[in-house]
Amino acid sequence: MATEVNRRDFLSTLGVTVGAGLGATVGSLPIVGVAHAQGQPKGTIPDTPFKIGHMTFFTGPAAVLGEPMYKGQLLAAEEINAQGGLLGKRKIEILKADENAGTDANVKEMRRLKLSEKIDFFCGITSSGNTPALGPVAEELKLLTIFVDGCTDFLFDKAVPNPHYIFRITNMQSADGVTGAVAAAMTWPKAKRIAHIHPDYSYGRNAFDHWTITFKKLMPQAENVSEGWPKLGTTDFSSHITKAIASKPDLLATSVWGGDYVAFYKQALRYGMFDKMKVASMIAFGVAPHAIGKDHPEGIIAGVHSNYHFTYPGGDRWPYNKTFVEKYHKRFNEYPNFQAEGGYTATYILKAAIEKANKLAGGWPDDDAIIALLEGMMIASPAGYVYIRPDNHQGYKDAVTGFSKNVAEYPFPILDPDRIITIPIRNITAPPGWPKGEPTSTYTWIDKTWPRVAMASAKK
Amino acid sequence: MSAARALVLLAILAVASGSEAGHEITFYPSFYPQEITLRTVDVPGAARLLAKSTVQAYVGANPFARAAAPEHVTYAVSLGPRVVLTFNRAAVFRDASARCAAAAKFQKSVVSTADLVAHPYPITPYHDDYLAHFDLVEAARARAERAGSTALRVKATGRLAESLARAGIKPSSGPADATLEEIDLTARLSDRAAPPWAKEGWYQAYLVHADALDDPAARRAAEEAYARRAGGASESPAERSNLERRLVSLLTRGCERVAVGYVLRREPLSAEYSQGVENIAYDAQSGLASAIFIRTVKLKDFPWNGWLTVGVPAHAQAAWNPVAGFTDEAGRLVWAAIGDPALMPAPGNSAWLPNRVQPIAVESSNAEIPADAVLPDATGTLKPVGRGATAAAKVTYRVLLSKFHDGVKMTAADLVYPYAFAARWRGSDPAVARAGALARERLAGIKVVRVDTEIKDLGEIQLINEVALVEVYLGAPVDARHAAAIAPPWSVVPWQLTALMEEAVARGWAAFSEGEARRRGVPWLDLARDRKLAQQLAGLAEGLERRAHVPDALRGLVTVDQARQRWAALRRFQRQHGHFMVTSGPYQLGKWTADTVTLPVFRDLTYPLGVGSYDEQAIPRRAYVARVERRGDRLEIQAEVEKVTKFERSYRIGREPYRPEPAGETMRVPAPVARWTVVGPGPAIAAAGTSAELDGDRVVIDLKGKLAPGAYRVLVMLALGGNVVNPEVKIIPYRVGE
Repeated sequence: MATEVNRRDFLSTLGVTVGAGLGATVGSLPIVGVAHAQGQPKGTIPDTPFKIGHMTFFTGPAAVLGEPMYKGQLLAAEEINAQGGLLGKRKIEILKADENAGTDANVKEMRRLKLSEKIDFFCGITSSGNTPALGPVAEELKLLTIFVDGCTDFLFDKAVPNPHYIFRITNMQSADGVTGAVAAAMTWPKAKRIAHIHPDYSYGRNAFDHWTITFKKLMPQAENVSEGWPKLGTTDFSSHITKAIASKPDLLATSVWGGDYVAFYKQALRYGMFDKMKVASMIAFGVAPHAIGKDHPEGIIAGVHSNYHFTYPGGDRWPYNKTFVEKYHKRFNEYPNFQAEGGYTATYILKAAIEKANKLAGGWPDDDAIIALLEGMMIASPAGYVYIRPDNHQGYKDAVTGFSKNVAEYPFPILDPDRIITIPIRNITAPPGWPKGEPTSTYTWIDKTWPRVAMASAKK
Repeated sequence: MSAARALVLLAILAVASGSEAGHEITFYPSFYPQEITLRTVDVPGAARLLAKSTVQAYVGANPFARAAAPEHVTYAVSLGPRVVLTFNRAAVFRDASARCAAAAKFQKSVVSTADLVAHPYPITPYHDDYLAHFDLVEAARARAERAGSTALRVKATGRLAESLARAGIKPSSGPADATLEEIDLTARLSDRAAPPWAKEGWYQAYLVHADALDDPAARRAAEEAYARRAGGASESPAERSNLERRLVSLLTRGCERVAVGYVLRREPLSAEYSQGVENIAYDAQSGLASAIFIRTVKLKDFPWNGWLTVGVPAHAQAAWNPVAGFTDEAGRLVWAAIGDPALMPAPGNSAWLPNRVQPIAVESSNAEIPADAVLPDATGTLKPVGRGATAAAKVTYRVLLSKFHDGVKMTAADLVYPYAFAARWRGSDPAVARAGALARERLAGIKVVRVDTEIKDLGEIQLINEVALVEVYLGAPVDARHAAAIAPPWSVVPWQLTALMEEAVARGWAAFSEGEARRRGVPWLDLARDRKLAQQLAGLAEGLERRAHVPDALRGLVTVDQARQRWAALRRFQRQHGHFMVTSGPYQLGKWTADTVTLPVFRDLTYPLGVGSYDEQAIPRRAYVARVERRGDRLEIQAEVEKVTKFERSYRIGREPYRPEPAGETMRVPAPVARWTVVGPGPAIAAAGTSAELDGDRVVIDLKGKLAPGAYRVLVMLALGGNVVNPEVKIIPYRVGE
């Protein structure tokens, strides 16, 4: 049976920090410095182009995510090519593919890119519907791959439990729910009555499950008093909003996303919902910075998904982010979202692995050498430190969330720079060796190993 | 996949199991706004509301024509009325040469303004066939330039009078030799009876000029040329263009009415950062009052969803019925949203974009019509064509089925019923007869080959669409560009709604068209706003449900049970929504007041098109001929293309040399396509065509074997993404040796 602890101590053990500084801790993991650094390559390097197949959404509603992902990779490629290319010789050439073609067509296109176009590396992917289909194919094709998103836990929990060729740079989906819950527990520890509004598809279920299991441990005094599950395609959220208000909750948890979230919050404003309860969203800011309007309420927990928002780490405290944001804005006249950072970092982590492999053996490294170095690699990225776990090839970077705030510098709300919440990712995701679980490994890991906050502590 | 499994999947379209998908659902049926409100607002009111962005688009006169517009206001610019000079037949200019000379002098005196473009030829740069007339446009300009100053006494009012005053010409207040006037074709071109080639310049020249012809022989010759061209004879592009040039020549050589210019329609849009709109496509000729606008417009404050408000200058007066209603400006916009056309006019040319009906093959050779294909007789009964019949053309379509707003699934019966309807009612209502005339005249048979189930796997979601494969046989030769739009197999409304309207009209409760309603002294059939008729229709529908009414034409296609379910669904819909306007469109008829109509989105997963489906039509781009080099019999064109760079909630258009995408990339961006016309050695067109052939980054026109020895001029323009509006035309001298 899980032990009972004091909440403050528990949050402390989770490493949760709030404030303007960097919350990330490095521990004893090896850091490959700045991925931009490049020494003199050893041996003979071919000057043939290094072909990247980049598949993401260039059309349809998800292009709001896909286009920035491509731009992030393009920026990195342009920077690397300006220095002569990978190992100073191999210029990066990107072949684009539209993920909007549907899963079957995407699988065919991945095969074509590898077999006909002889791509060296596959990157991109936004949809979690696609990574579980493409992952096994990439393994079969022996195609070195870094998925930027497609964040479902299912990919490495079940679809490809022992990956060799595929990696993923973003955090896992379950982190959204856990991060939102931890942030809410820390911010509003006296909340007892929780209302939920989540989309009635698997992301909403996943967010609800991971929020609920986390709250069970951290906020045992809390109870779910209302659940709303808007169907896919819902545009009128009135009934869900009024139901939530009627249940008189202290706190609303929601994972409604994108254009649905915008329609939802604007309708909720009309009902005064944000004045009647605290609100924690897992993904309010998880589209693109400019996707949210200035009328968005301030002070709600506004999850960013995949743990990057361009304002954090801010200022000179983390120069990589400052320069990345500046370069990206200069190149594309907009601020990067998490996908842009993911595309950029995926390219540089690959570059770092190639360079390190070259240093070790000379010449152009084969894929297995690159893979061996990607496994366990940690680099400094715009988002902070990113670590690729060797056992599951999943990228880990610390969880970030915060509070919505309007500032004069931007025509959209950002995360309050003075109240950023960070959580070391390893403390909220299942560790290596943890058996695969239902609905996710992280869920069962939290359920079975996290202590429960004592009720006495919970009431404080 | 078995039918049973398909049904199960259909029932659980959004399968939520475990954690197999992320937050990003990648398909949202229908289009960006979650609700569209049409608001009647006068011009001063429109200026105020656009300034506040509470109206995001105004389909009407430019409210900022006389004052500076706010910075966030942009314009959709499209072809407006034609400006013509019509000679007074009783005046001194009875002789054609005198009229033509006087007209040339007058044309010279007209000065272009922001809204009025001086243009001395009926076909404008906003017409798809502009290139085929470009040399004639230049010749008309040259004639006007050579002419002296005008002494015509001209009547003009409004902005035309102002325009004349700016040119130093005082409009006549007394007797006049001619009248300067605007001819607005909007209503005729948006009429259901408008032919598929309605956007072509030669056709519009006919509409503008034919009724002004004085000379019976000239009129007869013009009518013959028109009939031959409209008949769709299968000629070469050059022969077709020469016929069109001859038609325009016949229409204009007597100078009874001469082209002077055209008005640019400037419809304002708010591009304000938060409250404005973006991703706009609009028709080059009908502007914002087009189906493509509704299907692309996106609110800046929403990745998708949001509330769009469009201002219209006048109340929706025309009756709301899908047969011959929605004929005014507001009505056309309502219908553009709740109706869903088979095909839509391409915004930047005169071709057709597939919408719910996708033509997959047009065969122009004589084809045998299958014996079991059907054709309506005069009573509307669909009868087998029988053995041995042939057709001049066959068009094969994929038809994207879906649910209607009343929840019933579209079937083959819905697709074939409009043919029966058109045949049955042709003698009873002239407007209905006109609308269906071309299809009736050309139709030789219809065969619904099969209905397939297609699944698009998006991971968590399997989109399951039923797609009908339909063959339509046409009895006369067709112009391949317009063949698919002649008689497409499509109905926006379910058969039972059409049958309900027929029963109502047959009982004398209403008439389909305004003209017939006036003639018979009955109401113009309105499925929503006529309360008395609504009560009558409700009672009628109840009786039809009780009888499980199936129209004669559908016997054998619809069972009694199916009919009863259909009628029950229609009645249920009426009780829930307060009207009978059931369609399969992307928006539904919601609420209405005297000043507003609200159209909520229909985000049903059976609706086959989604947010972003027509994004490639938004922000039309142009291509330019930078350099032309002759290599043997080839012309190689270096192109410059416009490139749209999107950022945040805005975009900019840059111009750069055309570079093809890397070889091996399947995600193709549109490449420039050359349109070319060779004139010479005389005044006729010797050859014409289009070329999409690329040699590296050059567009190639291969003239080998196309021209006899002689001296020619090659007229060349480039289209990008189908956009041929206002092209830059280059003239290249070209000689073919002996």
